[in-house]
Amino acid sequence: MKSYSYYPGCSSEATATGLDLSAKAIAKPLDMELIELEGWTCCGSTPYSSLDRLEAVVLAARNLALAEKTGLDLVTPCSSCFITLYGANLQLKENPQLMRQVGEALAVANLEYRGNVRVRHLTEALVIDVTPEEIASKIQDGLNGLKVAPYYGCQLVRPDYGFDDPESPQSLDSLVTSLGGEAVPYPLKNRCCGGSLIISEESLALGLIRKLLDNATENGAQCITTPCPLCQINLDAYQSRVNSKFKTSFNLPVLFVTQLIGLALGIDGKSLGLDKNIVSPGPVLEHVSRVKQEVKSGA
Amino acid sequence: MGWVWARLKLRTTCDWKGVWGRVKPRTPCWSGENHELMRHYGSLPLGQVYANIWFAVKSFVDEVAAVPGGEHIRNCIQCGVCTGTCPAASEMEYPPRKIIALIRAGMRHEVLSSPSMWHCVSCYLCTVRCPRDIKPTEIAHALECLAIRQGFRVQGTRTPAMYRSFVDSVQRNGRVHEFGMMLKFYLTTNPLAALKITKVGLQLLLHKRMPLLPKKVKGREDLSRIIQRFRAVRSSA
Amino acid sequence: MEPRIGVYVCHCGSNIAGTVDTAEVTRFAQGLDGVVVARDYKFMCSDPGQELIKNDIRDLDLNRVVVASCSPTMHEPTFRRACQEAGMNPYLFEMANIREHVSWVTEDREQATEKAKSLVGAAAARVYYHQPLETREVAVNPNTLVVGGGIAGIQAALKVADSGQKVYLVEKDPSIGGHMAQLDKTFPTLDCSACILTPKMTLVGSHPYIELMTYSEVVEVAGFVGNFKAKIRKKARYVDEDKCTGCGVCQTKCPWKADSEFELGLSQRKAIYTPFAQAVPNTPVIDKEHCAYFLKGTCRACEKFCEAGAIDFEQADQFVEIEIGNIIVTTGYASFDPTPIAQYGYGRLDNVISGLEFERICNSAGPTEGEIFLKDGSHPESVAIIHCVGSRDEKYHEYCSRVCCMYSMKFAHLIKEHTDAQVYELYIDVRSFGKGYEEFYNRVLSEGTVFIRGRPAEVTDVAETPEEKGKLIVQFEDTLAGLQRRLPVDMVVLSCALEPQPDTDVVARLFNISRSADGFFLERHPKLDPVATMSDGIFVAGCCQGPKDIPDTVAQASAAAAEVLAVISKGTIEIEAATAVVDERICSGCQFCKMVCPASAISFDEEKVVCRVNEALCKGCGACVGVCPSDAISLSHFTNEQIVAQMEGMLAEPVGKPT
Repeated sequence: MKSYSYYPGCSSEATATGLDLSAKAIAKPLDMELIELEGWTCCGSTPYSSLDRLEAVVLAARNLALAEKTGLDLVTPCSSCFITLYGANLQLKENPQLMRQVGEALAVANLEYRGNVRVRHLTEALVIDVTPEEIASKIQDGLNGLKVAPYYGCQLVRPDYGFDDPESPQSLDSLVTSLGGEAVPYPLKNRCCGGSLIISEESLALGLIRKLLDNATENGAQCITTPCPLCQINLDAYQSRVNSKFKTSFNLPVLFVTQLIGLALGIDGKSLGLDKNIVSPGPVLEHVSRVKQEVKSGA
Repeated sequence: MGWVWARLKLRTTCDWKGVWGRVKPRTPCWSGENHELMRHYGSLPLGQVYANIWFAVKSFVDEVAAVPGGEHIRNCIQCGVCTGTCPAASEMEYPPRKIIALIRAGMRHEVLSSPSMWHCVSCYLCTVRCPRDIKPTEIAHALECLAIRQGFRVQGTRTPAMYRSFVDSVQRNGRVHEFGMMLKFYLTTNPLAALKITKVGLQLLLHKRMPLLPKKVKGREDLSRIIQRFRAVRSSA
Repeated sequence: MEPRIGVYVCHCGSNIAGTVDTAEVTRFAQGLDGVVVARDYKFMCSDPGQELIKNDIRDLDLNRVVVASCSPTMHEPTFRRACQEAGMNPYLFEMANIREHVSWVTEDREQATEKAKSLVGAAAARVYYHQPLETREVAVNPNTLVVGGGIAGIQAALKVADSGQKVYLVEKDPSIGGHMAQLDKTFPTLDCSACILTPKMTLVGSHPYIELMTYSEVVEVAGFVGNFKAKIRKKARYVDEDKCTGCGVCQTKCPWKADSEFELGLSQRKAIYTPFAQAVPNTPVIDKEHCAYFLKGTCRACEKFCEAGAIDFEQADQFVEIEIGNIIVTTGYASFDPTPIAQYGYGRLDNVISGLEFERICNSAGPTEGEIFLKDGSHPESVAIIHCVGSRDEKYHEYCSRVCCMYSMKFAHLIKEHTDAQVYELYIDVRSFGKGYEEFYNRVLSEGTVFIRGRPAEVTDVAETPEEKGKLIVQFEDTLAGLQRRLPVDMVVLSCALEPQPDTDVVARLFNISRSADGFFLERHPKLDPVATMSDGIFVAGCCQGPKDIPDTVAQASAAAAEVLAVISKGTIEIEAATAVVDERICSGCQFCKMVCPASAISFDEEKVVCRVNEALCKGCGACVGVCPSDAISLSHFTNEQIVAQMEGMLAEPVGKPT
């Protein structure tokens, strides 16, 4: 069993409860131990760093310092937290003066950061450490050909962390395939959903979300899967806004990739937080269980 | 007296180095950095004011080149791949390529008072496609910081208010409390706009994805002490 | 004879004097052991500068000279000649490089001056121990090896051979012709590429002074200018070149097919094939990978139908050794593969094609016989041409590939000529720098091609409007209009960069050629010696040295031929006086030196059990000196005494004198 220091991110307490629940639910069957970082605080995400870059680095540094004490890799299921922690970590390592100033500030809370933490996205850990093959071996019935549009969003693969291609990423596709699903071709799979600007620039973001939903539907997807909390809420909770604004009638379930893995592993919907999805994942559950039944009755 | 002179001189243009040679009245840039400078230099003799400004104010492009991600801004060949890529370009008065051109032209006021960079969705596509290793996403965020620090009033975007609500929420609770943040954002900008997303909000509430009260976070006090200390360290440096 | 040294410190305009305090260096030199006079001057290499040295040699009886200026590769010959003209042996001269080694790489004036002083001190200490030496001449082998049979190699080979000198032309493919044979028309005059190339190819094939070796590769090179030896592997063709009449019956009868390399996989060829109709030589080769005989042991159709009995399945690779005096390397370029630029969709989207593929599609001898078709068989109504694909991009190639603007405009013209399609050129900057090029740009503009300034962000088939359905959509910023636009077209042509051949590193090692940062071969001097390399007697021409168009390639190839002919016509070359000398009293006869000598200048005297150096062959490289376990070999002009003195001079205290 491989252990990780786990950073859930603020949205895990609200809009992305499903991500947190499902990440924790799939960890054990996949031989992963996610140890939640005690006393974690905001990572210093884009809104913070857009108002004060350096102060945002301090926010990240506090969490990195906490993680360093555990001696484990820090994984987060949130793409936005990932890019922020990863970027701040890099900046601290490259800028000794900033590291010194941040060190002085951390000292008031008896913390220290030496730059030894490896920040990773949960998806990366799933693909690189656990591997799709390993996941496939733990799955019995799986998704049985469920057509899934793998949606990467932006910050999982960009700017460039080296674990997947920023322009034509494959990691989620391989995960979906390993679950027995069919990753439909999804040309817009790494295009933006508008992120947090859904709040302040709604019409811009809704336009982007619509393109994503359109493209997934056109390619025959029965659902979308994504690892990112912001992407999920935009595609899921704002789907009704898209429908009313553009007179469309999308009804496409949007599942966290961890929820999808949980489903394939046979974990019940409640433990995966599927009841929290706004667009009902009912059709997905139905497809998976129907095929399961067919398989059973056939056997 | 020096204060008045400084005011007159300072309101002339956008790029200080340029101004020094030829004083040409341009768009008044009557805010931000100038305020700060004037607060600082208002009580000094005139000569000293000039000398201090001369040394204190870098050209705009130097300032942007000094932030992480801005290093290669001088290498831009204006190919436009960033703007061509940008999913928010249609919303921007100055899309990325143009904003780089304006920075290099020293148009501090035009750039920092513009809402354009506040429309950046941080998708980093421009960054991975730039043939000159310029990082427009980082530059956009740096410009946002500069605009705030130098006190520019930005019209035509609610993103600064949203970011402000976010930061306030973090500073108060240690983590973002999404409901509190949204509430503050709509109250400080346009409460009526909240009506449009009532349905979304209600659904989130019903699906237990929007707790109304923030959690008490263990590290909250530690965090604010660290931030206070950092501010002190930074201002003394 | 007591050494009387003159030291001359060059300012090189402000190149040196801008960073080094030359007056201070001169003052320092005046205090050095044996120094009679030290002067500084603006340009030592100028006539007055040289006169200064000559006069001092005569007037002050100097017998040693040190010049502190630029690199010896630049001006050592100049100053040696000046010394000689004043009656001094040129080997009593020494140079200190205070430009490349000091002023160009040091910012701090004080540090630069200190370093210049220690280099001058070192040179003065060394020259103290110099001995007069005599240069030697060796005969030049008049044969020339040309490596690579594209237009550069063809031109160079013809020029040398036309003067009545023997040329070996080695080409790795079954036919000469190179990339130029694949092109349709050539900018800006629109000559048909094949029409101007094939006559030259035929001339090469029949030239009495050219020995053509196609389907062959150079595998070993030894020796030095005037006397190289090369080993060439002639890959087995399985067709006897002497018997084959080139009737082509084998190709008609062969039932086995494979993708044609020449047609870039756009059409197929047989397992026995010549790459294209006008191939020279017109002798086919058998592709073992696809031939049924080699795969399954059956078929032999070609053998049955060949009346000349030229098919020989038993043929094996042959190795040929040749002796030559000069080598011209013309190995060409590779076309950048745009697959990694995923956002342009090459390989994923139908009808996104590379420039070279377009050349074939447009060519009347090509797979579509010159008809421009889409994958579905229809004709395009609109075509977008994307410039700078893989060029001017730090992720791929930083440099401008120089020819893409022009060939893109040629494409626009050809599309207009072949179809009614609207053509869009998406460019960053139009570079139409050559003779008649700007006029061609003007012509293409007036033909109605639309030029849009903006590097495209992506090519996609995801339609956002009904008009975009079923089209390729190019998304970009029209930077001059300041608008983000989406342009639906039927075909996208990617104007791909020219890049170094994938085996450039192997070829560079083989011929001992350096490479510049962009990966292409490095010329000796970017302006004044553009076809020579740092290895004497080895020249480069064409795109292996950097992207260039056909006129420049031909000019460079002719220049390389002229360089070679100059060496041949002189008949001898002067070689360095520095040679290795074996002290036979110490030599134990272990023959390590013989093994490492690259010039094969060392022989073993069986009777006396010692090694001897043939001075006429010795290049003075010093490899034997380093390897000799008993310290029996020394190299004149690089004696231990001289080198130790040089080191001591360098390490001496700033005010010190050589001990």
